[in-house]
Amino acid sequence: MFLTRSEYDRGVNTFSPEGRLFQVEYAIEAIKLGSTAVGICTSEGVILAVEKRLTSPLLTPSSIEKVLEIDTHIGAAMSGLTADARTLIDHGRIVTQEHRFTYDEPLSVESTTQSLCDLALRFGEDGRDDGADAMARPFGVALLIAGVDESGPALYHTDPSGTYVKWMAKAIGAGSEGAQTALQEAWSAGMTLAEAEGLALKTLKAVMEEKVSGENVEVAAVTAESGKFKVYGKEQLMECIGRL
Amino acid sequence: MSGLRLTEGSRGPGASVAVEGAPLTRTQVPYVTGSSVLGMKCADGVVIACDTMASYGSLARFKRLTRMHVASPNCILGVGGDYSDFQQLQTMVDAEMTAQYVANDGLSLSPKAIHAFLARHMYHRRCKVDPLWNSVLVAGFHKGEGTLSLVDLYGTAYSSDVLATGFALHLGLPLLRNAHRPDITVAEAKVVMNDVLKVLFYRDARTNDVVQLATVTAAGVEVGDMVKLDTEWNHKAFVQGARAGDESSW
Amino acid sequence: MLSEGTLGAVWGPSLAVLPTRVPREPGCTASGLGPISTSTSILTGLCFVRAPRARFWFIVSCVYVVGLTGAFGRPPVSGSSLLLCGSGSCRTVLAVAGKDFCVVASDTRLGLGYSIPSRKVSRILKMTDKVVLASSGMQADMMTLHKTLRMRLVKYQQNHQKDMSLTAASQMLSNMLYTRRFFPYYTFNVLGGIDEKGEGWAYGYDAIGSHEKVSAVCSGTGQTLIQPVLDNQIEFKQQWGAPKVDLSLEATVELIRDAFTSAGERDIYTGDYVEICKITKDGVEVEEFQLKFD
Repeated sequence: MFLTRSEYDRGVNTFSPEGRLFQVEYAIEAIKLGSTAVGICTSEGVILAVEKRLTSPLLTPSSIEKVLEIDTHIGAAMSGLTADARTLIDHGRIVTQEHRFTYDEPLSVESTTQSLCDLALRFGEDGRDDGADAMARPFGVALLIAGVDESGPALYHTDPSGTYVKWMAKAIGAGSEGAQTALQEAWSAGMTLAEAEGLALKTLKAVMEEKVSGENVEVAAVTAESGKFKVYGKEQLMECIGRL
Repeated sequence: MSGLRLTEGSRGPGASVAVEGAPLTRTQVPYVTGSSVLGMKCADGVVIACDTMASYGSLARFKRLTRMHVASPNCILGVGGDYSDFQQLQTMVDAEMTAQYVANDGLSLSPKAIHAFLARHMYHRRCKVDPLWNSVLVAGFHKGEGTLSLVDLYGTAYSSDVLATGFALHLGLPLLRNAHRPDITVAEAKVVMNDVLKVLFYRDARTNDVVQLATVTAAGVEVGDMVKLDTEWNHKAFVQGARAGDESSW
Repeated sequence: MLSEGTLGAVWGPSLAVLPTRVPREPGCTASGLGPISTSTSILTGLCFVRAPRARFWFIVSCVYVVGLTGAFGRPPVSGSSLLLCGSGSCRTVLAVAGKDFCVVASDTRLGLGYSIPSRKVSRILKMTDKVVLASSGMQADMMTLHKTLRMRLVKYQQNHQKDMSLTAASQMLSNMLYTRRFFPYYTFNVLGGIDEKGEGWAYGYDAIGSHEKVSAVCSGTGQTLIQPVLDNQIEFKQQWGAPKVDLSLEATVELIRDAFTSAGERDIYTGDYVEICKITKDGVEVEEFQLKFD
């Protein structure tokens, strides 16, 4: 009659007999349709690089933003339903600012990630007394969160299940499988930030259909030295590509 | 509706019935009041003591009231201040103890927990500008050790070896401090209490000569009977006046 | 309880008879405290207060009256000072910072009018291994503040897997005090400790969260006696031409002992014992020091 799967894949509040939450798994599938994003962590800082799919020559490339700042010391790259990421990033911006207000210090990268995952996990809940709306479904987006805090540079990966894991190098999105293998082969502990920058672009290039240009990739870095997160401008990006 | 409504606080001239539109006030003064309570921590337990009168202003209104309340098998409260607020306090403490009992988890509040609970409640009420006008001594014995603490109408809360509230803060506390030793026994302390209560009766016009002592030891709470003090009025200062024979022009 | 019927007991210029019924003022929906609202207008600069509830008028005027009449030197509690220090004001607290240490100290006398209900009430909160708080003012408010702070510290530790830094604690305390802007914690805090750079610092607060980062601060009844000495001995104020030297930890503790001994000599509210917390990179060490009992 029915596939076991379809009986349990409608609600986020019901486990399947095998102990799975299909809606969450489907959400994770959504990320595999997204554009590729890679993050590489070194002792000098973290590099984020993402592919932008320019589906039409009439599209203005700069209007697609896939790397966003959360606080001055933290940023995130996304893959999947990027609209969902807006909600997450907004939330991250609020908690980091609230932390600064209350404690007069930046929020750590892990705490920021944790608070984003707390939000991601609210699917299936009713609305809250604090005014937070009920979520109909899990977020369909994964984030690579890069930042520096007192314990140095850090890179975290979050997914729709609300899980976060710390990585030295991580790829997400459609090309993630190939990219992850490439990162695993090329990453080394003693890497400089410049080398990481090169590796990130090289990895993206390998999995992208189009030729890498200043239009169809976005690169950002957060350095231990400055403690600041910066999305590369056109000029800096072109230099990077030139070095490739 | 009759056009009249009861205000939140219903005692006192400023607090009784408010005409529609008139300002709403709460208790600003205590009415029927108990005077001092004394307490001393001993090597083998704790003793608290107080008289048994509740005054209405300068009127000795009620002369055989207990001002003590057994909160648990190992904790007793001695209360001064407004008597009706004391009664409410009893209801509240009993309700809390009952709630703990009903939970049937084998747990009950320790004397320290009762003290903290009272302190939070008293502080909450003062923040509502609707205080319970009392000073409460909490005496207990838990895990082999006596505890003696105080809470007042502001939510002030602390512990000490000797404590006194009301008039005894002035006249009784110094005597208790002099009498206290770390190794003093409950039996010795009871004698001290009697003496101090006598001094208080001589000089505090809101005190009577029928007193009550309670002890908390390893054996639990023991509330004594109301006992009439053995007083002596032939002291020279009482007969001739305190300054009799003074030659100073002061 | 001693003074039942003291409904109009007045210790400030304005807290006249309380339970008087007065016609309602526009915008003041539940004022049973008529004369007080009159008093607010006597106090210049208070006319902006338009709180809709009686207790706002009451508190605001109380706070300012205290400011005008001197917070501590008033007669024992009466009905009208219900909201203020009540039974038991805690008295002198101070914090002195050194190059790589900080000392926070407080006496332990609990005073009520001319009585001493207790000689040993601590008003020091060890917030972390590097941060210590001491609060003077109303004991009940102090206790509530300390309990709330303890909760916040544990939550912070659990959420961020680290102890709160001195700067974080200083900001959080300010915010916590300010959340009760219109019904303040009647506490005057000094915070001391070592910051992330390993430097010692002290912070002084008012009841509603204004604060200042300094190297030496004193609050409470002994403030007027001790602060000038700290200014002179720590900051080298008025020591024209004298080279400023950093005091060692031992010398600082010695200075604090002398300061408390002196304050105890002239301030009737300071006495009994002093708790001295020495904060170094190795943690907090507490020593006790006896003052006169009179």
